[in-house]
Amino acid sequence: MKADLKDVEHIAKLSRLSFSEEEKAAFLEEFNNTLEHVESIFSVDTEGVEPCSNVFSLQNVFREDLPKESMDNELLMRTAPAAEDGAYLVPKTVE
Amino acid sequence: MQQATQTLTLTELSGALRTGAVTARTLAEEALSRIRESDLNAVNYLAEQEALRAAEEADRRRAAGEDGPLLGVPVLVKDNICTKDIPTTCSSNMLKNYVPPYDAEVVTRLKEAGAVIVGKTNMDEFAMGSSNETSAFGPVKNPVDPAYVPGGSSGGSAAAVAGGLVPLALGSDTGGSIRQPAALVGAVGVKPTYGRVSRYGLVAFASSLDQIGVFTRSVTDAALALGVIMGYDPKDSTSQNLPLPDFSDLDGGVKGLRVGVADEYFIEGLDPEIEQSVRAAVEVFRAGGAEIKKISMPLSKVGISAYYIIACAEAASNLARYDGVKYGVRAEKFEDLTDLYFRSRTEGFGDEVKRRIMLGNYVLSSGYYDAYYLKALKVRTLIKEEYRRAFAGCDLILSPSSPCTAFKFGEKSADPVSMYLSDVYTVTANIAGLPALSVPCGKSSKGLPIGLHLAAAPFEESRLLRAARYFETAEGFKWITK
Repeated sequence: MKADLKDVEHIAKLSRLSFSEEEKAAFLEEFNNTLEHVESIFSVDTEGVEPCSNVFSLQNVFREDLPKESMDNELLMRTAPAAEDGAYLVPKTVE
Repeated sequence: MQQATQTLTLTELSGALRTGAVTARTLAEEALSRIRESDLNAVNYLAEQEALRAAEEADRRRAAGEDGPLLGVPVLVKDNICTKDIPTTCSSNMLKNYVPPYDAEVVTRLKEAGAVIVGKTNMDEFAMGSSNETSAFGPVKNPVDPAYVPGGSSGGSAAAVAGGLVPLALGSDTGGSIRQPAALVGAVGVKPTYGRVSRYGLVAFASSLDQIGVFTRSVTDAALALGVIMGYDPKDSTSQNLPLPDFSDLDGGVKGLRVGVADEYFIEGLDPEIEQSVRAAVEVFRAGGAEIKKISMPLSKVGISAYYIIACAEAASNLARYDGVKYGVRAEKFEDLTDLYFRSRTEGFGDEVKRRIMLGNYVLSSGYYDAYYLKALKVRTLIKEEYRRAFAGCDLILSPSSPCTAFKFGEKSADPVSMYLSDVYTVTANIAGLPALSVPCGKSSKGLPIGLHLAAAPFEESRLLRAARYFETAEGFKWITK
């Protein structure tokens, strides 16, 4: 399968990334080279094979539903680029 | 003692601390001064005050009768492992100002053991790279020859240990990011079984593949360090609650050990000098009484493809959290919330990170999910089964660590696919969650280090390290420094 500029633009939008026209063109070429390479897996017969998303079968890890101390709000807010009154500050999202 | 501390192994330094020949404070001062004077660019942040305080505390603990292999030993930590009140940047502009409010579990364990964290090591941005050239803070240089890359992504940790800055550094390994740089600089690098070491506080790249491990100057040192950082942690839901490996018989030799070697590992593109060294290593094992078994690993050739699909898909999801809101950089100008996301991410991430997020979102997107991502997960099942079958007939699998020795800056960075291929021998251990390591195995005619890769069945770290210890002893291995 070969991607085209439209694919690159669509994926960039999904990725929340912007590219200039030159970057898009350069990216497309590299992207297709990489796709061509990874497509070597198409040659493997996987008929009837279950997918493996984690090597050791994952199980739910439960704990008792008891209140316990959580990280200090003020400490967490210190890592935010903008915060006010213990909350993250973002541009207006609802008109 | 002074300058001599630079060339000692962790085991030797530990011994010197125990007899009182040296103090933790002196070791910390010497490590800090070596890092300041070093031109390897291996360290992003020097934790001077914290290190001196920790060293004094280690000396007090020892005076009070405490002992332990890491008590008072200077260590470096890869810059994607969270350290409370010490910057953790992932060598990315995105996190250049990030100071975590908590310690990763491995850091807590290092501190409890009395290790002295002297700083954070440079790396490929978000651990995405095999040469350290994707770091936003400039590449790390190979201590063997500064014209060459140290490998990646844990290049700073590898160079720091091989270059004589510290005897121990932590790294992370998603597709070979500990073992490949260990091979390229001439250090020992160990990736334990997935689930052996807590990932709590490790900045996520590909969560089903990531594992923290160690760089040291000897296999014995690696065992000491792993003994401190391994173990169950309820804060990581993939952490395995199993008995820990016993490293008390590291010098037990390899008599009767079944070592698997696959023809598929001696592929086109493998440097002939590496092939020669690795074939000679096979004879070293045979001479020690190991039984060499021919095995077949036909899927090894598609491992790298399955790896890049899975790793990029997971990265695209994990790196969605960098939105300019909770942490990291925020663009200065933006029109609305969506624009803030676009601008912050476009400004904050480097090219390789963007490339992988894009590939990840492509293989996860509607219309391509089944063909790429789901297919790769099925191939993962088959690779895991191929290993399971191989380990029914052998105890260890031997291969080169990397198809090439260290390469020059710029040599592969223009071609992402050729860079990705440098992980061809290491990625399948991550795909199958196996413990694996790289141990020095000679040098090329240019004097560049060659690494031998050993992999074992899940949770067989003690067998893995015993074989590596046998090899380094038989070879009279000396780590390389200038």
